[in-house]
Amino acid sequence: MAGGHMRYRHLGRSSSHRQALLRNLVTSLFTHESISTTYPKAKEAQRLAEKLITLGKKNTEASRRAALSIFYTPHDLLPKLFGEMRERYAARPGGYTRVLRIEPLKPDQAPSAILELVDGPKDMRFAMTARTIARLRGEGKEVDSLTQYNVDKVTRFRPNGEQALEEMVEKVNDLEIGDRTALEARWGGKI
Amino acid sequence: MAALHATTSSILSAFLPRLSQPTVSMASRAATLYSRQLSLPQIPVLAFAIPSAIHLNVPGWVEGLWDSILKAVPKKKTSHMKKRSRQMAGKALKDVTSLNKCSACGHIKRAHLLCPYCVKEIQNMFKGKAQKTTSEKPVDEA
Repeated sequence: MAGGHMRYRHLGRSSSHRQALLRNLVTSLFTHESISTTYPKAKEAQRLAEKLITLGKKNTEASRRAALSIFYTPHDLLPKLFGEMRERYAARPGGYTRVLRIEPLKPDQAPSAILELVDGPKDMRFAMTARTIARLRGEGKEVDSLTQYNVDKVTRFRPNGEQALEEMVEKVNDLEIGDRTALEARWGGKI
Repeated sequence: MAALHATTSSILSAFLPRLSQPTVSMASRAATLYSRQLSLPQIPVLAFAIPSAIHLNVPGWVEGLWDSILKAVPKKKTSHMKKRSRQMAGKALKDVTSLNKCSACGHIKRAHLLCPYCVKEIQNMFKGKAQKTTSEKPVDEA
């Protein structure tokens, strides 16, 4: 923004349009646990999503009303936010969502990202760490420092984190490493 | 001051006739022809009177300046190739040098970005899509 400090990304939209967009994004995020969008949209939706989970953890009548006014499908998502999410993030002091950069998805090559709920069923970093461990074990190597750092991150607040990670390692170990010569989307392929 | 004036006047007198004379004569001739064509030779006096009036009103050096300014224009339209080369100069695609290896599959990937192949395979696994699974991976065999 020209002149002055930018408090948030305007995303090239009017206030109402931006609010509607962010509400749509967080509604999708809480429905699907993980969404892929452009990086700036993901970072803005992350703010709103974290605030929603904070509302869920407060679990008061006022917070229920505030959450109700944000979701587009509140009757599906309010029980989830004030039930499952509240329990999942009870011990975690913030940082309930994660933004991971991925290869551009859009035809204009805009930087893209995955916005996901940490410790959810679609935790990409959790699965990727598990896959790294599976590969290292297959090669008979020790877990390196960066992977160990990621292991600590993904298991710290997850209930039975170590065990869940072992299960995921088994699961991704069965997953075949596909054709790496297939064209990526940015070169006209499907991946 | 007087000297300066003298020099300028001399320069003007040296240049102006040369500049003005051909154009004036041409203009007068054209005007004459035009007037002759238009106004039938019933009143030849008027036809000769008009060019003399123009000659008096427009000084010769104005005509010379007018021509010289108007003539300074591009001779040819800039070609598409020339225009695109000029406007796209310095905007060529840059080489991607920030690369590293995916920790999960070992394939080369862009730094700070997740490996697109692994992301696709893991997303398919989450969705429960029919993905080829093997008990023995290539890395296990090695």
